[in-house]
Amino acid sequence: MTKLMALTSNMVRNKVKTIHGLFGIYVLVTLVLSAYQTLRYHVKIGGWIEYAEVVGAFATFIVFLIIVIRTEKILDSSTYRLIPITEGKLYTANIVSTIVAFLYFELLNLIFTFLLNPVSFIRGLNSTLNDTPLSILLIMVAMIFAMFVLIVALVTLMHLVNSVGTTFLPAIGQKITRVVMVVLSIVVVSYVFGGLQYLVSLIFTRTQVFNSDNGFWVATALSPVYVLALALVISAVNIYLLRNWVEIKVKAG
Amino acid sequence: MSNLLEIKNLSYSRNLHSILENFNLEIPQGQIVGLLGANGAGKTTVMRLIAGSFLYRRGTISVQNSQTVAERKSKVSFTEQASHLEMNAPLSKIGDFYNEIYEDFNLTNFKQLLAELGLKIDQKLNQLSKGNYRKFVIAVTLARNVDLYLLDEPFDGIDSMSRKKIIASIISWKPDSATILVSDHHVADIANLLDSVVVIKNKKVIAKEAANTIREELGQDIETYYESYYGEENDD
Repeated sequence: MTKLMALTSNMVRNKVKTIHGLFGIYVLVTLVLSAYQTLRYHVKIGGWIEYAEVVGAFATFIVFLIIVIRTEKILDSSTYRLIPITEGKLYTANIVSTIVAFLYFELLNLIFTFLLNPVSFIRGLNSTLNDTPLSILLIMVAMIFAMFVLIVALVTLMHLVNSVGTTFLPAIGQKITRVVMVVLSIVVVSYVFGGLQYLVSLIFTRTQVFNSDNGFWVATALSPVYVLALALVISAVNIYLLRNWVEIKVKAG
Repeated sequence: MSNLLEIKNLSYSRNLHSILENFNLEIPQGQIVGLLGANGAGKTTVMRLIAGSFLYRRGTISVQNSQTVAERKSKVSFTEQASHLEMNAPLSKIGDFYNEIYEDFNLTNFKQLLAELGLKIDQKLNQLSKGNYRKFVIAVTLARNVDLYLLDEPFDGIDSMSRKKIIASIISWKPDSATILVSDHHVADIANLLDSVVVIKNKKVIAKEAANTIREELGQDIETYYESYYGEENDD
């Protein structure tokens, strides 16, 4: 039987390889764009950090999309589904490697931004630390992490439900039923995101829901836990679907 | 001889279309068994169900008394396990991947099999012709040390020289105790390889016979035996 660690480290390595490629493109685009701005509009080299931040935000979105697509492909690929390991471990290895790969990209992004202008980077960091209490910053980081896990789990849920439909619904009229299922999935996901948005707004705008500061802090500190718990529940559903309903994707021909 | 594979009362549907119904099959250890049937008879589906890539709701499948699907997967090497690989990866990297993931994968055997089949380890997957790709799939499948090998149409679309090379590899690399289930609808391609044949028709096993019995007692070759069940229906 395949070991969870062996599978996880293999998946991490494969996804990190993708990250390196994407990060290379991001660095290249940033440098070319910044150099052009310097030559054309005499922007100082110290100002390149701003272009890195703009391109970096876009790159983060692209990396997220590509890594999530790779994550989903694993779940119905015969190469991975035939590995002698339980579906729970396959799912865990897949999601853990996705998280590690994404964090790795963000780390590379931070190092790159720092190298472009260390003084400006540290000044910005100091300013953030001075303006926002450390506890709130930590909760923000925890919340972003929890939301990332939740979003990946939700995308997987939509993918797996769609995959079940492909296998079990009648071939005739399947396009229509799949459209209905996608619309339903979007409604459910939108509902969950609505709840998340409300939760985030509670943390960062301190609305008057809480009667005392104590109550506010407890609820704020716990909110990433709620989101993570929701992600775990959805993950449990995903594993159930993988184990009992989701078959490999069959190549035509 | 004890049974390596036992399938009992297996039924399977896909898209509300029934493919197998009350399918029963027992295969002893150490044999090369031909799974014969026309296109769409369910040969690939049977293999996918045994390998664990398709899920069944009625019946049982057991390989060496396996209790769980993961355990069954550890005893089966299926040609489809190599069908979703990164196409721009060199064969050496793919070998490393299997070596890391499968405890029963033998990298040395894999390299020897590739060499025997005329493939170079530094070739990329997307550089292989259809025939060479089939050889690579056979090399990956046989490089695992398992109880049951499932070869789904291993000679599909390849020339006679390549076919001979693959057959030679299958014969020389098969461990004595291992069983090989090989499917094909071009029966002549695999006839000389087989210890016994299983014919699938109408969602069931309709015949199962030892190759020697077919040749010596029935006085037929395997192709004629198969055609006696399919006759003119099989237009392939």
